[in-house]
Amino acid sequence: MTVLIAAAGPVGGKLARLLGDSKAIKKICENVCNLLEKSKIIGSAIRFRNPGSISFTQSSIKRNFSDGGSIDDLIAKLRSGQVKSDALPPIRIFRKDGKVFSLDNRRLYAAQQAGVKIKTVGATQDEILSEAWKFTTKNGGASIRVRGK
Amino acid sequence: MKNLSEKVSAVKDQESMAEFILDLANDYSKNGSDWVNNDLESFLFALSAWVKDMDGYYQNTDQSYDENNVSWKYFADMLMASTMYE
Repeated sequence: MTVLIAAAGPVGGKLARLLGDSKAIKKICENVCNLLEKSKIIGSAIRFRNPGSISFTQSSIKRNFSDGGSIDDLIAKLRSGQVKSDALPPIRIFRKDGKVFSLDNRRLYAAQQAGVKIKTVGATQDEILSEAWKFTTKNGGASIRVRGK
Repeated sequence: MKNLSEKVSAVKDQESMAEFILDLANDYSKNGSDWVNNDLESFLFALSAWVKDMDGYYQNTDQSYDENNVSWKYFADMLMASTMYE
């Protein structure tokens, strides 16, 4: 017991210092989530990814979101830091032919343009099947056209 | 939406197309707020966009596509896609 208490002191102190730094907490959460996903303990763990490593499913996207906001606004807010990418809902991803594709193309495009990492979560089989109509890309998802520009 | 995606596969003639459209309308009544394009304007814009991009869908899903030999299934696919095409 004495050993445990002695060990808890420095560990607790380190944690307390880390908890005072939100960037450190975010990094820990990212690492834990990534480890859980890699170890397949949680298949649908939320993980931060480089958006450039994710392919689009659609050939084109509309320039607005359902709430009326525009993709251009979101890009500007992500760039300025007014909106943090971790405040956005995770984009749903799946693997096909060795590539990672997203079912949520507008948020992926915004993150790519803003140059920020984005939260991802594994799409369920039901989601992939029921949203298969989005899979219109003709260039392997390398780029996407914003309609109405 | 899952049931709808299964039903669209069954569309092959005038009657099954009418049934599918009815199912689509009923889904809108119950779950319209879940549709990405849940008003007529956004639905029609999505329809136009998907028709422009649709050859990519058939290519990516290993289905045959012949723009000169349009079937009932193509029309069902157009309507289904327009509910969700971003």
